[in-house]
Amino acid sequence: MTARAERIAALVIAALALVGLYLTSRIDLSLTSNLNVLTGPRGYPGLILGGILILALIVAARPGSFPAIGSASSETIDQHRGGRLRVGLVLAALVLFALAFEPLGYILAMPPLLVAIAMLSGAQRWQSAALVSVLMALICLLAFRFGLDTVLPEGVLGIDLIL
Amino acid sequence: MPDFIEALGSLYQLIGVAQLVFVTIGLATGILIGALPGVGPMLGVIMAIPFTYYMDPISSMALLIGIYQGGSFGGALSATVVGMPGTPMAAATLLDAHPMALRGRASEAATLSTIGSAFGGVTSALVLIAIAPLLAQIALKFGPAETAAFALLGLTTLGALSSGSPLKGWMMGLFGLFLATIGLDPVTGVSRYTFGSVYLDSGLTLIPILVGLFGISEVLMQVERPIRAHDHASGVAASIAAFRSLIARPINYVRSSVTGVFVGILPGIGGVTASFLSYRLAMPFRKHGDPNFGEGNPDGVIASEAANSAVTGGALIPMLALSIPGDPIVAVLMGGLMLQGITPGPRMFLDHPDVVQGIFAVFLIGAAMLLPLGLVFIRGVVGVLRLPQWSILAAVVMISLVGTYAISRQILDLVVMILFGAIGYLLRKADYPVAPIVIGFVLGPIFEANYRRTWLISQGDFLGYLATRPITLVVLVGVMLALAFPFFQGLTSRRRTTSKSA
Repeated sequence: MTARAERIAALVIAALALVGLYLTSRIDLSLTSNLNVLTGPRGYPGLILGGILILALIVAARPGSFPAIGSASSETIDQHRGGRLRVGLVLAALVLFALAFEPLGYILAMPPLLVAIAMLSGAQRWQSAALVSVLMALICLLAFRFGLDTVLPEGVLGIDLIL
Repeated sequence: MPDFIEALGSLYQLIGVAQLVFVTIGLATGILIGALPGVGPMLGVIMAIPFTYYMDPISSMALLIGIYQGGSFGGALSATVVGMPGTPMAAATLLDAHPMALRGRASEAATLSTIGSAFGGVTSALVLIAIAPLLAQIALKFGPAETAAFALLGLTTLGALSSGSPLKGWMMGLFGLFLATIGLDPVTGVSRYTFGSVYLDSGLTLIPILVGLFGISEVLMQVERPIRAHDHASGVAASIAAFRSLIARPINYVRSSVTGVFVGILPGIGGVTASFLSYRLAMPFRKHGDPNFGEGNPDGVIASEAANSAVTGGALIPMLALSIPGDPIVAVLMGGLMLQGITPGPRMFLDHPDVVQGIFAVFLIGAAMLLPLGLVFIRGVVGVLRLPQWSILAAVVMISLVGTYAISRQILDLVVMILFGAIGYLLRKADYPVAPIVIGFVLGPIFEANYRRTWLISQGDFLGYLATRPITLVVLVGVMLALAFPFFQGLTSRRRTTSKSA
């Protein structure tokens, strides 16, 4: 699985390096003059991307062992699927948090995220996850507000006025 | 020598109560998180970086160095108590510490680890204080060509950070270098890969990338494959009897510490190699009546712990004097200094001598304080190991998000952090190392500025100019060797395998 993933990743990186090289060729040089090809705004990142492309192609092309698909037991495949689903849900929860953090504010956005992370990472009872999440979020708020003198987003509650 | 003694004597003046408190907090935090399998000093240092933004440079380094030192030691405690190394560095410690615990000598093994770590840490602090200023003095004579060559040397050692495949290490290092090019070109002011975004004009910043690549990706890895809490962890306490080892086994302490410092100075090798190398070096000197190595030999515990703690001071030498972070955690420490507006390197010894001396002082004090604090925390580690994993992961996510946001107050920083969390997760799943990305990103601006300055100075005759710079040529030979070394190593091991199978 790793050798296969390694090769796929190398191909993806190679493709991204090509996109990067295209973007490099589009860097606007109209305001610059007399630049050496290897050191200008295009030259230096172009060298780096060229290096990435070559290395990615070597990694993708070198021989490796590839276990046959389907050799894993159905139980293992289910475990992998479950694990990946949890990873996807955590990422979705993080993106939702980033979108809601400023409009909703820290107090409304953080505890639900922490409960979600706790439940997705093995908490058995939502009540204990909720209690721990609220406590942690409050301690963190107080530490940042009074320890580091930082105001976190107040959102709809205007919590900083209370504190 | 008189300079060194004078420097040691003046160090205490630079340390106030605040720095002592921060180094203590750092050590305590480091010991506890180092003991937690899957967390470790790297994550601890990264989680603490956003907090250091609000501190003065010496206090911030006190906290980060404390976590680094404590975390490098903490892994030994879980290795002893539950047979699972909290950090990869403690894997060699496990070989003898856990068998000792199984024979009812857990307290002695944990105390030996503490003494060994403190001894290694203090030794490396003394070497750091003695060598770093001398190296910086030499490095002050370097021009842009030498600085670029040293940065290149730091980058080529990235191959060593990639177990089994230097190509992937270099690829990830180049990726880090590329990320550092995003934003305005430092020479011409031309926009590179900004897509018209004002946010990207100033370039990507270190904290969201760091927290994403290490903090969030670690959470995702552990969410996918949960690690169980160790409900069965049995209690340990400090053992006074273990202190006799200082008289009975002094050579092992010294040899292992020196090995650790030496390995630490070499970029890209790190604590895991140091502890196993030191363990191997201790094996021929087994004392009569001691169990075999791997079956509970106290010298095995001392050798591994003294060496991996001594790496910390050794690794700081090239970072402070030459601006080369040879270890991912040291790269993060370097980022922490840069966040304070201080770029490590020889100029720092001239421009910020108080910060340099302050770092020396907190390092030495931290290493010395590891002994009493480690002995106190030997008991506490069992409680930490019983914490449910979900509470630790939730705390990591919370500190990552709030810490990253609090520095810039930009939601886009959170988006970058989550994006790099996903990238880090995918790369780790495909067995690509993420640490070189950080080293490349940190070294990127230094390398680019000096590389381009060298071209400008050479006025087109780049090779002719290099021929007049002997130090640069020597370093470039080192670069070639660093590039070739993994391939020679691969060839040798392949030959060995072939001859064995024949």
